[in-house]
Amino acid sequence: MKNILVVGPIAGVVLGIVSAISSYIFGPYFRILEAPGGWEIWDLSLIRLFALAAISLGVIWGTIMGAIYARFYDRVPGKGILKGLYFGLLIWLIKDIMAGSYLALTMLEIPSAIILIINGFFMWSAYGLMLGYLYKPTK
Amino acid sequence: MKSGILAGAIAGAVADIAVIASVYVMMLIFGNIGIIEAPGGWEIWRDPSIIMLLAVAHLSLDIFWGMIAGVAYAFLYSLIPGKGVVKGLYFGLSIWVIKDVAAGSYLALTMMEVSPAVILIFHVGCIWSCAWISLQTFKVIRIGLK
Repeated sequence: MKNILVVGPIAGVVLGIVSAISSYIFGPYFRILEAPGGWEIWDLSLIRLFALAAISLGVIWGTIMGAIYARFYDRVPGKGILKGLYFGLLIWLIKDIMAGSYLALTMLEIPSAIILIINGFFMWSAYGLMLGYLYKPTK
Repeated sequence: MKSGILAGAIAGAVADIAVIASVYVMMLIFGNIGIIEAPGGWEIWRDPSIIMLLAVAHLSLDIFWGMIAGVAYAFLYSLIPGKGVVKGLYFGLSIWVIKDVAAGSYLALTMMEVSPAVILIFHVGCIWSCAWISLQTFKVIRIGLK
């Protein structure tokens, strides 16, 4: 458990960085970042703030998901890095595809759902690979 | 595995019918609680066919994801703390944390999509919160009982 409390946040930082980069790449493409002030407010300081938020969320959720990974370690299929990747994709399925389907089909928030799913794939794959690489269960 | 799929589907369907009925009753009592902003504006939510479509979409999604959650529940059963209904409650709350709270936090803080995030987590306001809580509670209890 101690190990995962260090590994989780580290993998979470990677999660946050990937989240910020992938949002920066795909966000404008899907034109989803509609702030109350319109598109003009997305200046450099706001992008920095947004990146900081992504990394902070990465650390928080990375730690929580890491604790879940440690708890269910034996039940996750695969070995080493692959085990981490499977876990990351499982989180992607629940957090992004499941939530995205509700967003798209019951709230008609289709662009948000698409970006959640696309970003999520890169985020949770990277997180899973990092977690699988770093986490060694204590015997 | 089979029982997990069946339990999940039943849990999803029954919970959905319960929540749709409760929302309908609340709409009758409190009037339009329109919280969902569609591309066509709020007006389209006055159209009964849209509400019906929304209800069908919700029901289909709840059955579909209920089946998948049911399989996961059966697979992880021995590792989930608690017993019976409480075990189901813990599982349901875990799904809520991962699916709604995590996704909602990303929606709100990295996309500035605050309203959908709030809807996702609380279904906005007291009425929807109550409906949502009853949905989740009912769903997890159903899963727990199976």
